[in-house]
Amino acid sequence: MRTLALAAMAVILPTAATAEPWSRAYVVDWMEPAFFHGGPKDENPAPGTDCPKGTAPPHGWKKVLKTRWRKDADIAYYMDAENRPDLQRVLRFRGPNYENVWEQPTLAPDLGLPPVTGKIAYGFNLDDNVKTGGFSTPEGVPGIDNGYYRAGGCWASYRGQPYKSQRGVGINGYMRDGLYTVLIVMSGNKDPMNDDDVTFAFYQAQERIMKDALGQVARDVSFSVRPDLRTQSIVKAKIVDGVVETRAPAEIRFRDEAWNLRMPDQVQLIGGRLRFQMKPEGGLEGYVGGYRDWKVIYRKQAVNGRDGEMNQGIDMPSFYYALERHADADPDPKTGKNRRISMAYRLRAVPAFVLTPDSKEVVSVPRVFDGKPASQLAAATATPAQ
Amino acid sequence: MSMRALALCGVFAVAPLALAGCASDTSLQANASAAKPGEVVGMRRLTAAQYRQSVADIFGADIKVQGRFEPEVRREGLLAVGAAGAAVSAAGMEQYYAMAASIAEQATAEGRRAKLMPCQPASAKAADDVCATQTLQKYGRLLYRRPLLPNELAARVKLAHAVSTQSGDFYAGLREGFTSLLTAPDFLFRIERAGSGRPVDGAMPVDAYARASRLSYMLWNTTPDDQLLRAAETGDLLTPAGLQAQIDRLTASPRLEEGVEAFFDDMLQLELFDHQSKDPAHFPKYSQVVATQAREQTLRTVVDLLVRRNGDYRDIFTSRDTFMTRGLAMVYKVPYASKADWAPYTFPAGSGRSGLLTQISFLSLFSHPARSSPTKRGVALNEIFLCEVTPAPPGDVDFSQVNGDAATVKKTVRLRLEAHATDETCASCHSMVDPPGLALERFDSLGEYREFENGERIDVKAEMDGQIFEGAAGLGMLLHENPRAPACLVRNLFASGAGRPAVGPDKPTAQALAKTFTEGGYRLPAFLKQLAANPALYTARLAPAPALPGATTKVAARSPSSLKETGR
Repeated sequence: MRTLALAAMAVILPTAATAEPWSRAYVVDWMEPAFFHGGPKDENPAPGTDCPKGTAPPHGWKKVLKTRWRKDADIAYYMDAENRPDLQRVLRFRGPNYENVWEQPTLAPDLGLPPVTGKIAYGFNLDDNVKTGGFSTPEGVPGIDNGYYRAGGCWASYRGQPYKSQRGVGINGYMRDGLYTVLIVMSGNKDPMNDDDVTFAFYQAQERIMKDALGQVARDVSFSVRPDLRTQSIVKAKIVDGVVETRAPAEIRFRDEAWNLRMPDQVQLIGGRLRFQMKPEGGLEGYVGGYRDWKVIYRKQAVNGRDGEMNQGIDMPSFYYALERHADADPDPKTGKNRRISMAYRLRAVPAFVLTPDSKEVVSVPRVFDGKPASQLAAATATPAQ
Repeated sequence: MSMRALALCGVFAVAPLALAGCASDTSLQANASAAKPGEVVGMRRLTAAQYRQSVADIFGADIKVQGRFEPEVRREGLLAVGAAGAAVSAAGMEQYYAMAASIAEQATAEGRRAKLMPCQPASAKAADDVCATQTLQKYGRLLYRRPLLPNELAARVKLAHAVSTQSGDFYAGLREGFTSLLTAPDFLFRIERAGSGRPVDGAMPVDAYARASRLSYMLWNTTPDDQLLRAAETGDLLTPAGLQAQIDRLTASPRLEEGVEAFFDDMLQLELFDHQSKDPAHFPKYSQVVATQAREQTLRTVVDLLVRRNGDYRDIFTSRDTFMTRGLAMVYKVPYASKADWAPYTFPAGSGRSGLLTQISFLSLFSHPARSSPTKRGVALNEIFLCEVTPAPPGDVDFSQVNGDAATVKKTVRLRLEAHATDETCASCHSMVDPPGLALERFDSLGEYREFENGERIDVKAEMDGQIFEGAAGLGMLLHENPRAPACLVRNLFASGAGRPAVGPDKPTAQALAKTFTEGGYRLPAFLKQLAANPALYTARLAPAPALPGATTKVAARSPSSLKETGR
C-alpha cells in the first residue's frame, strides 16, 4: 500500500524542475487521421486549398449498377431507399462474375478518387527528405509525408477542422461510448518539461472510458493495462520545453480507431514518430505518424468497416487504387510496388492513472505487459519495441 | 385534542382505511410527566429509511418500496428530532397509500405466499376469517410494533372478509387488510405511550413497546424484531436485566452498523445529497453516481472506524483511512488500485486530506454549486460537530464584496470575506465560522484538491479558540482535541434516541453521558450500550405542541372502536 501511495504521489504532485523520477499517464480522448482542412472554417464539404473541387464526388451508384444485363427497373428498385440492404448486396457483389469487389477490388475499375492537391498537411518528414512528400506543415516545416491524406483527404466525411470532421466525431463517439480505450504513459528522471531520456508507451485499457457531466472524457480516472502486445509499444523520446518527440524512428503500435469490433485493432507504424505538446491544463495533444500497411487501411474501411460505399458514398475499389497509387514506402522485392503508406494520426489525451493488469500497482515506468505473471517478465524496465 | 393530533387526524381523513388509530385519545399531553399510563406521549414519523427497512424486515428484503416520502424535518440538527414534529400532508398520504397498496400486492403475490402465510386458507377463492385473523395478527404486531388490540384486528379481518367475498379471492382481502395496516398512523408513526413507571427527572417513562421501538430504531434503525417485542410483551424489557440482555443482543449484531449508519447519515446531513447540484461547467466530474458514492463513502468510513475497528470517535477528524470507488478516486485524483466496486484506501500523508471534513460529502454539501464557501463549511462544522448553531444573517447584508464585481478584483475567497467582514454586523459571526472554513479552502466546491484560486496561492492558515493552525490537517487536530466535539456527539445520540434535544432538564444527563463517553476512550459501541441502558432514554418530555403550519384542520370521523383502542 505504501508503494502504491508513493507511486500515486509521483503522479499527482505538481512537478518542479528537479532531477527526480517522474511519471505522467493519460487516456486518449480523441484520435483521428491528421488531415488538414483547407476549406472554410465551418463548411466541411466546401472547396478549399486542400481539395479545390470540394469533396470527393459521391459514389455514382446508378452508373456502377448500369450493366448490359441489368434492367433500368432493377436499378430503380435498388435506388429506392427502402431497398438499401439489397443495394448493399449488389454493390458488394458487382464483380464480373458476382465477386465481392470489396474483398477483391481489382475486379472493379478505378473510377478515380480525387486526391488532395493542396500543399499543407500534418504529419512528419518520415524519410528525412524535404524533397519528398510534397507537403509542408501549417507552420512551414517542409517534406511532410502523408500519402494517406493525399489519397483520402477529400472524402466528405474526413474533411473539416481538427476535431470537427463528421468521421472524427462519429468514430470518437464509439470510443467514448466504450468500444475501446487507449492509454499513454510517460516517465523520465529529470524535469518532465525537459528530459532527454523519456520512456513513452501506448497501452490499451481493460476498462471503458468514463465520461463527465459535459459528455467529455473524464480526467483522472484509473485504468488497468490490457496485456496485449499487438496494441502496446514502448519508445524512447525526449521532451524539450514540454514538447515530447521520439528520439529516433521506431515501430509504434497502438489500438486503432474503430466503429465496430470486427475492425483491425492494431495500428502498426514502421519508422514511426510522435510529437506531443504537454498542455498547461495537464493534457497532451499532438501527432503520431509512420508508414502503415495500406492494405490494412483498405480492409479496415471496405471489408471490416462496411461503410465506405453505403454510408460515405465512396467507391471502395477506387479507394484501393488511390492508396496503392500514393503508397510511398516498403517496396515489395518482387513487384517493386510500395506496401506501406505514410500517414499520421492526431491524438489528444487527458490525465489518467494507469495501473498494471491486475490493478494493484501504478505503472510509473512503462514496461511490457504480455499477460505473463510479473515474475516472468523481463526486468521491469522500458523495453523499446524495436 | 392538541393541534398536532388534530392535524394528524385531519390528514388521515383522506384515507378511510387508516382511521382506526386516530382519535382524540391519541392527543399528546401538554405535560408528559402527568400522563397516565397508556396515554400517548410521543409520535415520531418513520423516516424514509426506517419505513423501507421496516418493510424489508417484516415482508422481505425483495419487496420494492417505490414512492415519494414526505419531506423530512430537521430540528435541533437532527431529522430524528424533527420526526417528532412531522405530519403527513394529504398528498403525502396518497403516496403512503400507493406504497402500501404496492407492498401489500407484492407481499401477497402467488410466489411469496408460502413464505408469508402462517396458515393455509380453506379456499383461495373465498374468505377465511380464521386464517386472515392469524395472518393479520402476526403482521399487525410487527407493523404496529405492539400486538393489535382486538378491535383493531377485528376491523381488518372484517375488511378482508368483505373484499375476499366480493372478489372471490382470499388474498385480495388480505391485501386490503395489509394496506389498511400499512397506512395506519400506528405504522407510519412511532406512537409512544406512557408507561406505569415513576417519572425520571420529571419525565414520564414510556411503556415497554415504546422502549422496544426506541431501542430497535436507535441500534438497528428498524422495527423491533420478534424477540424484542416478546421482551416487551412479557415486561422483561422493563427490568434492568431484561433490558441489558436485549441491549447486549442488539449491539452484538452486525446490524448495529445499520443503526450507526442511519445516525450519522442524519447527523452529517447527508440527505442533502438528494437535492445537491453542481455547475457542470465548473465541476464536470460531479454526477449522481459520485454523489451517491460520496454519501456511502462517508458512512463506510464512519462504520469502519467506529464500529468494526472500535476506534476513537475523535479520529473522524484526523484519519486518512477511507473507502474508495473508481468514480470517487477520479474526484480525489488518486489511482484506484482495485477491481472491486469498493476498496479500502488510505490517503498519503501529504495529501492534505484529514478525516470526514476533507471528504467529498462535507466539502461539496457545504459549498455553493459553483464555488466553495468557507462560511457554509464553518457554519456546518460548528453545528454538526460542535452543536453550535450560527444565527441566520440579517436580511440587509451587503454581499457585494463576495458576489459583486468587487469579488473579481479579490482573487481568493479569503480576501473577499475579509472585505465583507469589515462590516461590524457581519464580523461577529464570520470571525467564528470562517476560520475553519478557510482552513479547508484547498478543496473546491466538489472536494477536489487545489493549490491556487484565480492564480493566487490559497492561504489556509486560521485561528480558532485562540489557536493558530494550518489547513485541514491542523483543523482536524484541533477538533480532535476539542472536548466539545465528543460532547456534541453524545448530545446528538441522546436526542436521536429519545426524540428530543438534550437541553433544559436533560442537559445534566447529556453531560454525565459525555463524561462516560470520555472515560470510555470515545468508543462508540461501548457507549451505545451505556446510553441504551440509561433510563432517561426511555422517557418522554413534551413541550406544548406547536401549531403545524399548513396542516389541514379537517377532523377525522371518530369511531367508538378507535376511542376504546387508544384509551388503554
